[in-house]
Amino acid sequence: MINKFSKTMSFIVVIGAILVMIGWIFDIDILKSILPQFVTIKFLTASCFLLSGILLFMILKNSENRNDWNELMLLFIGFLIILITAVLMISLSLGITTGLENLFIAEAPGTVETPSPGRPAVVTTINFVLVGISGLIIFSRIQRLLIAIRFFGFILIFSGSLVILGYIINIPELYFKIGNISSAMAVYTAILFILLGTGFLSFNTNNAPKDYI
Amino acid sequence: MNLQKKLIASYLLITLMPILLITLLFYTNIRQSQLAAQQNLLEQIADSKAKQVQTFFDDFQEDMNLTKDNPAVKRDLQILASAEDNLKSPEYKQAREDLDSVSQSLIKELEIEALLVTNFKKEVVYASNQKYEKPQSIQEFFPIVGSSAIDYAKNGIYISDIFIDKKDNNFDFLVTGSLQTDNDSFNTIIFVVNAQKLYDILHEKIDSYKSGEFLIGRLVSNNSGSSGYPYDVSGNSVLYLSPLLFNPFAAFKSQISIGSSLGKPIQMAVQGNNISGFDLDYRGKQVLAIGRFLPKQKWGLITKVDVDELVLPVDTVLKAISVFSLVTLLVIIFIAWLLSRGISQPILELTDIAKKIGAGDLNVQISERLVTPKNEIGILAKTIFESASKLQDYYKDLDRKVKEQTKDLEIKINEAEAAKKAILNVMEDLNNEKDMVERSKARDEAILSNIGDGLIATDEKGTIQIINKIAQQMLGWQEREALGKSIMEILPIKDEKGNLIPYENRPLNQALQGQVVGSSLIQAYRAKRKDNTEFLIWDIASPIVLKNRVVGGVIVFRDVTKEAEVDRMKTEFISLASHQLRTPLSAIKWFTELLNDTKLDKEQTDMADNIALSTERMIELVNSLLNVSRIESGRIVINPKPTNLGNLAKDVIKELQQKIQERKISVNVNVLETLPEINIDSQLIHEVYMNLLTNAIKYTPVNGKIDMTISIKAKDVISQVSDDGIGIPKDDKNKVFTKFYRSADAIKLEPNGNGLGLYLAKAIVESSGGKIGFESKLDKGTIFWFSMPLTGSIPKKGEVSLDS
Repeated sequence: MINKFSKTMSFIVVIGAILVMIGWIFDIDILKSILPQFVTIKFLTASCFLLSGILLFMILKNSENRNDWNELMLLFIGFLIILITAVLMISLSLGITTGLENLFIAEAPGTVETPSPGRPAVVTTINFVLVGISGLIIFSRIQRLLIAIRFFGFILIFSGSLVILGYIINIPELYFKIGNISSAMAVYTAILFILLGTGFLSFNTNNAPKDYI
Repeated sequence: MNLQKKLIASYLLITLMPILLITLLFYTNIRQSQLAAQQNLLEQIADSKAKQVQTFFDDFQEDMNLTKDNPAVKRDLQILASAEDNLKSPEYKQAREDLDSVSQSLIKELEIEALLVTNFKKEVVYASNQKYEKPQSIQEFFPIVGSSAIDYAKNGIYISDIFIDKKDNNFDFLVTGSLQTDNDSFNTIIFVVNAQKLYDILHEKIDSYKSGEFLIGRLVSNNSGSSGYPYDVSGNSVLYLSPLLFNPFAAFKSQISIGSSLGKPIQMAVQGNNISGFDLDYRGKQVLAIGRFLPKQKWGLITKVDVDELVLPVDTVLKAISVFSLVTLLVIIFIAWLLSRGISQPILELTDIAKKIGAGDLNVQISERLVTPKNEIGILAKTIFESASKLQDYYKDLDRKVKEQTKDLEIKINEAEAAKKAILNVMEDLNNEKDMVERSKARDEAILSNIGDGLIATDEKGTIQIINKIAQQMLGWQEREALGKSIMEILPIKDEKGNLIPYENRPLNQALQGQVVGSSLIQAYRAKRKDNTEFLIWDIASPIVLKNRVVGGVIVFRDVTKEAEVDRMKTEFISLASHQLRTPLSAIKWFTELLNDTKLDKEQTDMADNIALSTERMIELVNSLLNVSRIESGRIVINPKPTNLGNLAKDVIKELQQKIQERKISVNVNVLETLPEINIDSQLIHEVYMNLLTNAIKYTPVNGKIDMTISIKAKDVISQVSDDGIGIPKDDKNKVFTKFYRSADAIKLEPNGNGLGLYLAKAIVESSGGKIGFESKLDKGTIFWFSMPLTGSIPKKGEVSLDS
């Protein structure tokens, strides 16, 4: 039952990500930002959500039917998310533009609340790092680390909720706008994090396969 | 998925992703940089070209000024213009010649097609080229731009739009400059210039780009062809004025509508915008286009190169990177395979070895290369090998011990087998015994349940162990109440005087001493029920002997109250009848004897003898009946006294001497010399001898033989009477000792007989503690024998004796 709920969350996140990507490809503003004056959810963020939704689904599938192919997929997706977000974080900290932000679709400079076009918010990248680590935890087959997945889910929900609150009561710091360093987290991003976090939080750690260490 | 594949797949994924990402990023960045650089370059080229085009036209403007300001040209132009009717005058000719020289010089220098001069009427008064020779209106030569070009020239040097010259279908344009004459009219000098010079400028290469081109266009109305001067700001189409690189015949033929998705750069440029960016050209191909608006000509000048060609160097680098990445990937796969093989192969080998060991094959060989490494695999391999070796030694030692033990075990097994067989046999016998016991028990239980008499079994102390239903019913005691109690409590008995018979005197006690004791009707006991009512019983007590030891006793008793009554009645009847019969019989006998004493004739004497004989038989029958009755009722007295059986037998023979002699039978008597006297009731045994010998005499033919033998056998005295008479049929052998039995042959031989003799003899012998039997062969003879115990008969109290 619980895993079914988590799977539903993963589906919703994937669909949401695809819609955002469609919005960027066909330049549909409503799919990029809830309101024109709010920051847009980046194409790269949507790509990471797509991967995260698939990752969550694979985690659940692996807990039901552990096999090596599932785990390799988890390794692949988890590592890819970590790679992308780690590159973003390092490029931000070193002040380097790698071009990753606009790799597929370039965002025009000067967009709302976005010092660096195409680059997600810092907190967004940190959250995705946690998501990527979740996939590697499953790959590691260390049972006592499984609880961390639920903890990561809690962090996603918390950060998403803070952003929503920030937009409601209009406190930019709550939606992580950090001067010219980091763009704010978009509303859509916050919503997707809440859904994704709910999926991770609901993950049934008691269903670990028998051969977990 | 095996370990090796998993390792390779993991390596692959982990290395592939960064490589792909880096390649993608690198390519994107390089491409963007390349395009940005090219854009800068192209903008410079576009600006330069725009300047070049402008200079091209400016030069013509300058030349026209020079030509126009040339005094000689002025004078000559005036002469020509004013010499309407006098074309043959020498001044006209001279002026013409001068102008020819100038025009030739200009044509050569400026590379123009022709130089024309028109008068104020716009008629061509001079043409350097013969094709413009005839004096005609300029409109006839240049219908689109001719008139307007002359008009605009009044305001300054005018350069017309490019047009198609009908005379030679060339693309030309006019440069016009006005000259005011003395009489205030205007003559116009017209340069007819071939636009090819312009096209040559535009057809210059853009760097080394094959797809690079310059093109010009202007705004026109749809399908209007050349709109001419002034610039048509309301136009909604772009007309290409120059041949296109990919469409050489496009000049003045191809148009693009404003708003079309194609040719966006030229659309923007002709509308006065300077643009720089990426868009689709007239072919629909992505190009980098720099658009410049030429304000004097109101033209749009486009400098463009295909994006594909611009990024070609980058794509080439990308291909190189891809090849490099592919090679790297293959190397990584190979290295991953090698590394994983280095881990998985030893593990696989160790797995096979472990499987063999698990299957019992301890004689495994581990190769040196497995145990040599000092890593975990080497340690594991060494440990497995040592474990296998130790196991092998252990099993060898175990095997040796087992073999040693096996020999003993085999012996013991054989012994055990034999014991087992014996046990099995015993068990089989036990099972059979058990079956038999169970059957016997079931039979006994059935017998006990169905026996018509009461039965009580006790142990050696008289404690009740079994009491059957009939006993329970008769005595009023339930089984659970009676079991375990003393016989004295459950079945107390009294004698005929009503005195309780003590345990010591009870038949049971005697039975427990080893005797079979029974009461008769004469000695029926009075038993007391649970409810203290009394009734008569007749019982037999027998010992239960197991392995020659008395372990208990059985009492079988019957309620003989009715039988006692019947017996009493029978006894009374018999007594009465016998006495009643005997008296008349005695009287008949007596009177018969008296009659014989009288004088009778022969016939009367015969009658009297018959009467006497019949009477004698009847008396004998009555006596026999009486004796049978007495014996059956147990009333006969047995009074044993020391008696010599030999003498007794001889006495009987003497008594039967007459009959013996009548039949001429020889009788031999053999008596053991050392025959002791035994305690017997001589009267009773006399009767036995009498019956046996009487029968022998009766059924032995005349001149036959009878042997009488008395001997000792074991603990008995055996008396045997054998004859060679008619014998007893086989079918009748079971009936011999029954009441009134006589075989058919016997009846034929001796019709007179009551059939009670042998019954009586048996009854007497058995009640005296002996046994009786016979052997017989038909027509050969019969041997009757009876035994009496050397210990003698047990005395018995009774009421009567035989024949009393």
